[in-house]
Amino acid sequence: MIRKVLIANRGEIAVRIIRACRELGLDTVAVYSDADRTSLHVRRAREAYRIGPAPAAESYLNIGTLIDVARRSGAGAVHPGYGFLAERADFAAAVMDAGLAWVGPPPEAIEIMGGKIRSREAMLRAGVPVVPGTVEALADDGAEAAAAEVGYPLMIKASAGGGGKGLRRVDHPSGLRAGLEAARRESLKAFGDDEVYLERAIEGARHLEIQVLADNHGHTIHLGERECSMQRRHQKVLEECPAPFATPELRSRMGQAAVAAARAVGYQNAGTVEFLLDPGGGFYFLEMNTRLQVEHPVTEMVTGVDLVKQQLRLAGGRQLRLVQEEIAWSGHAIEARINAEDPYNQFLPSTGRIAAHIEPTGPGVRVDSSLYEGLDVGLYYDSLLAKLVVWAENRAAAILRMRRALDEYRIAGVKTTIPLHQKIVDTTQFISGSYHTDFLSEAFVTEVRDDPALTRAAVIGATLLAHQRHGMVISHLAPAKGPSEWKLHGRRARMLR
Amino acid sequence: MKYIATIEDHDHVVDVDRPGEVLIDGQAHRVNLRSIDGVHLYSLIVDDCSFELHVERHHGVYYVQIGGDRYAVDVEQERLKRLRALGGQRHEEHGGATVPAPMPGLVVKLLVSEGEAVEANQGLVILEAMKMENEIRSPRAGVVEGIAVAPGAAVNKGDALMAVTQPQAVASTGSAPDGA
Repeated sequence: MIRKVLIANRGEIAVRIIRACRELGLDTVAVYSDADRTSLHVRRAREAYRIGPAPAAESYLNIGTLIDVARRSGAGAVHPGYGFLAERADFAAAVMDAGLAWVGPPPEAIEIMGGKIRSREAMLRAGVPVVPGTVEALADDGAEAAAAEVGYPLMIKASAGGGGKGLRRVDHPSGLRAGLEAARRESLKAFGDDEVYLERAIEGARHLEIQVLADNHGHTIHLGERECSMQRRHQKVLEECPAPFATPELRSRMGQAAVAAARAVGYQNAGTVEFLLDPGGGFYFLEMNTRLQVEHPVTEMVTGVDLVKQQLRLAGGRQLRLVQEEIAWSGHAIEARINAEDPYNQFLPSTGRIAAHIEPTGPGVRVDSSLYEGLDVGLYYDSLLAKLVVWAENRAAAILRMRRALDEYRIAGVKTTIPLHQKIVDTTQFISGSYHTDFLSEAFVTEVRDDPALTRAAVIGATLLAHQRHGMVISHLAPAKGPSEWKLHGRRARMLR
Repeated sequence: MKYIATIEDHDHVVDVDRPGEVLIDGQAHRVNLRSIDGVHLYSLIVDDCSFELHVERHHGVYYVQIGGDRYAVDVEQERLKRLRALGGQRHEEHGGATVPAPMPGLVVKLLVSEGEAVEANQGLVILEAMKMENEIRSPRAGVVEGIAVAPGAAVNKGDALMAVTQPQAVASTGSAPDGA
């Protein structure tokens, strides 16, 4: 029985996990680096322990320190969140060796799914379709023959790859050698491993993923798909549940494949199986994320299942109470990732102090965030600041709700990707649901609407501020404050008299 | 007082002499502008239509964001603009604390961190361009603020890398409405 949970993470996901713990009556232990002393997860947790200086390698990635804090605090379980150590089999093993519950799958499952070549082999054995390509690591000798068999255009992929690194597309045999060299070099630099393999390139592919839940008693179910095709440089930007064109039949087939994939590696706890969907409706295993996903809230909104609470129950050895036949999908949810990046300047990361912060609220709106006014957004960690999630009875209503919520959202002090999302939700491709993974181009947000009322407002605002700046008397710009404290005091005194 | 506001390559004459009213190219509009956070956010009502503006000022240009759209507005006093047209120089305001990238490149390393005090000519960033590593140095003594790049980031010529502000300048911007 778990009573206290150490959250080995920071930012919005640490806050999200703390929320689930509190609702389950579990005590919470936060950890923080020097850059995070006043972060929201520290303030929301029951206990908080310093684990080192700001660089992640010296704090959030330090397995020894984290295990030590877990012992000292008397925590019974460790939740890794996503990123950092979430997909490190050695961390999972260290947690279990310390006699603690690991809120995640067994280290062996992480290990198999962590290598692309290993996981493709396991999937082939389990009868899960994989993207056609080479099964074993590619040798330089005979690469041409292997490539010809796979067919062009093809993708060279690093076995250890992720996040677009060690990935090369080759359209013609003439580019194979250079592509191989570049992919190997990049993979060696990023992952310390230069194993690569080949996959046929699938044109116009969509990126769908299936959420699975598995207990320690042989019971595995799926919670349907998420559409994750809205990407920029292989990073997800916006996600939906359900996928715009998913039929119950496709969901059922992909769900069964995902359950088979999870069973094949002895999976337990929550996980996500990613698939490529070709324009003809064929789907292929890409990889399995052996942890909670950033975009898990869209599934929660549509199925009503709290995935983090499920994770904590399952980690405690409980049986799944959910059964496949009872999982139902209601309405539509969309998540927009709000990153500290400047969409008007090549998505360069943006840092600074949050000067103003107004979150959208109202019907069907959920914000998973670690932002507050006064927070210093630094350079040390991921640029994800918040996730804006909306739910509505159908996709059209959800899009309108997302547009409304984005309009309400105000973050000042750092540049954010809110304007990018405001542009996305107005495109015909997004509204019609017919977008795929290379929809977002580099120069996506530079065009502005040619609306005379907006242009006029911009001219007036800028000119009045310039006028004020030049020290001219300005009666247009009144102070935002209400009556003075003295006046209010007088009024109150009069009322009491 | 008359200003020339340039937006999307169009010049507009804006007259702000009368309280609660502006004339844009001779057309009168009732206006009311209020600061929300004292820094960037403003509420603007123009002829009973309500707008929220997020305003930042860089190198004398106002970047006004309304909804998902961002407009660059260059505002100049009409008198000065006319003088300049006669051959004078535009009065460049000094105090732009931003350190721009002198060339396009890849940020290899940051040599300073947020809030660090630096000397003039101290190295700030290593920028790789054309396979050469270049040290970008501080144009002035001051405090590093608003680091806008991270190692691995690609920058264009003129992109802000960071700001080096003089401590006294930091204190005095506290009351400025557009201290961006």
